Amino acid sequence: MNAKITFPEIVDLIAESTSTTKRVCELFLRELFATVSQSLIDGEDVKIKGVGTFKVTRVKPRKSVSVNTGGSIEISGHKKLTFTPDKSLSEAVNQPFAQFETVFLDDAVTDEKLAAIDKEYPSLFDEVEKDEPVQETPKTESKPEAPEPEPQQETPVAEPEPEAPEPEVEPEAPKADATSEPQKTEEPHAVEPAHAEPVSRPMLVGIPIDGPTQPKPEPEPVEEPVKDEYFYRPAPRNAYTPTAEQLAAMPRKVDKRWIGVIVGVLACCLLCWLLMKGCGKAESGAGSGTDSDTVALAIEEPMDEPATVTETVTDQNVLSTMAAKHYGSQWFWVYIYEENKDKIANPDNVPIGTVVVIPPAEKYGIDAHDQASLKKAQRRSWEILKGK
Amino acid sequence: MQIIITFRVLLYNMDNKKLVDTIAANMGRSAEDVSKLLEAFAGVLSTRCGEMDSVFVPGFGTFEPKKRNERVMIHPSTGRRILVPPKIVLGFKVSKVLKTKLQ
Repeated sequence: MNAKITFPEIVDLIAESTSTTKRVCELFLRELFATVSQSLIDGEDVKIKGVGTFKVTRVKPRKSVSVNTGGSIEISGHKKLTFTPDKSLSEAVNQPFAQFETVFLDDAVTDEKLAAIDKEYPSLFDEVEKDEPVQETPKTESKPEAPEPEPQQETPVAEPEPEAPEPEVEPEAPKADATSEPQKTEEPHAVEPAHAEPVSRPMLVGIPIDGPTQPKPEPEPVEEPVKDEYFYRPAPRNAYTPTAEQLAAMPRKVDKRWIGVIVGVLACCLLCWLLMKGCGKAESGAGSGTDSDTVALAIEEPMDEPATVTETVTDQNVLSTMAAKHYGSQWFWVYIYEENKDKIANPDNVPIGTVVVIPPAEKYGIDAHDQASLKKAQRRSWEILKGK
Repeated sequence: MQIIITFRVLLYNMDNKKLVDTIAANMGRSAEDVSKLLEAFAGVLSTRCGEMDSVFVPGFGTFEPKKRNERVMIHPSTGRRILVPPKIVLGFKVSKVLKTKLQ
């Protein structure tokens, strides 16, 4: 780390990796840099594979201001050697920060907010900061930190309070809770993983949680907008150190989630029970009319005896009307025809009084909402009519 | 025009092959050996600089990795503000000897 590797050390390292003598390596390195230098002096660009490109550029004379006297001086034109590292080399050097990507900032992220974050976290590289006093991290200004607390640390503490009264409300209105609860619990959830594993997923911290998705306006509006920011920090800076009360709050949160799930399941059971009760009533209330009889059968039949739904052909009730009634589209008449092929000679002219069996929709994969199923039925019907 | 430029580049600039050939001729060794040595040097440079060490070559210059802090900048074409992540770049500082020789 931060060691300066000198010429003999380079020679040793190269000799080690190529298993040649040190003398050869030293000779080679001297020759290499002598050649490169000579080429550069001659005004050539030098490109070395795996290292990069050395280029000599001409700097034009320019006017400047003397630091000591304040008078204007002219910096004479000269030549400058620039080095552009090879892609593989720069990637190897940047390995520790390779996981970061450039990110577009939201319009909501203002300079003040960024400055607040800068104050919150000291600079990424302490050394860099020492070198560049321009870095604005004034230590005297500790006041602005109080109104804009760090979002991740604040929310887990604040969250449990608004949720606390919920368990009491639940028994009265189980349905309303079942819908609102899962969404609510999701929010603290989304923040949590970032705390739990900051090293592997540092980018996740502060992923914008947009307003529209939130079920209720949050009690603390001051902190919400801060959450919208998308910023990165390297893993160590993000390291989450939960306080004692935060730790105490975590298991409670899990409990609440479970309560939400249980309430939802209970609501589903209630709904099912009500539905079944309603069905039973409809069945018992059904009269002796043929129409309602078939409807009741259509609901019940698929469970035990699917093939017994029948219809009688009249002048008003033909195959296509039956199909429309039972399957939702007239095109599915083809399947009724296929099921009753032995009884029907000509699908265009079915004798009145013929009793046809209506096959269950599952048998032929009938689904009026499925375009593919409809198309298939249409194609089949054309084939049948053409074959006539 | 393009042809002339490429011709000039070929004629005057030193690419990897030309460099290897020149060194091989001066050292009296095969180009293969030299290119192996050159690759080894690149490997040493990348591993040492990857560990934040700087590599100093007397009479030529120093290769030193430098940390660049993250910064907010404006995308030149879209005008949107972007956050540029922190990174480590490999810098090269020319030695005084070569600097004076270049003038």
